[in-house]
Amino acid sequence: MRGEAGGRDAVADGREALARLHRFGGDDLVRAMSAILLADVPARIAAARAGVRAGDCAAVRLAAHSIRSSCAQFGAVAVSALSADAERAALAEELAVVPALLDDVERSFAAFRGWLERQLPVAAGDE
Amino acid sequence: MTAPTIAVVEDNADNRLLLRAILGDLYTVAEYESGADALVAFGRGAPDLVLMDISLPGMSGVEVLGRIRADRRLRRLPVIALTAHAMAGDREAYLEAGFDDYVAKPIVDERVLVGAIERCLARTS
Repeated sequence: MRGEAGGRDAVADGREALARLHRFGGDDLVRAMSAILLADVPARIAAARAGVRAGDCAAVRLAAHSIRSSCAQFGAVAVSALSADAERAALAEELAVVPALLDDVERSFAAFRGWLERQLPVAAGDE
Repeated sequence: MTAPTIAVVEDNADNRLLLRAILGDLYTVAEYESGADALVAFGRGAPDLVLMDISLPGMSGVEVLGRIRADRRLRRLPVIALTAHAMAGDREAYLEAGFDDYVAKPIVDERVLVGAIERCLARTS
């Protein structure tokens, strides 16, 4: 079920995903993957916007797919679902609708980012 | 006895990091950001198995698989598709395309991934 970042379902998805990542690789993995996500998603959004300006459906689709995939691994269900919408629009070569979808992705990710940053384990030496 | 070498072909850095965290204690992991990079490396020495993202920049995972299957030295190399395209019928489509198995992303249970790897390795040993 899609939930807005900050809603109870979204938080439950996020917490479950972080617990799973912690099980896979501890605090170090959670911190490292989070750092990549927080840098990568804005860059992918920018790449998607550039793709729209260039009329490059393949570039938009690849960027949206990457956002969808990365955010799904973090339980960012709303961001992932919105990215999937952008990916489908690019696949259908309907670039006109993509900018508004990317605005939604950006807003949703900003909310998820705020939540994620509050959950991140403190690195040794940072306390 | 040396651990099998698993090639991870995945353009997302966080997914590569995750796969290394899950697999690194069990196998030797070699990472490639693109199909082109992987194919160059495989020309020098083939891994024991490939985990192939489907959505890659440049050549798609399916195209890379086609190159692998067309290469006499690599055609029996087990290749598992990794994909977020987990719709009904996708598994059959990937198997028909020549993949040996497929694992859906996001990875929620490492036993599914490791199980698929071990089954493929067992078939080729």
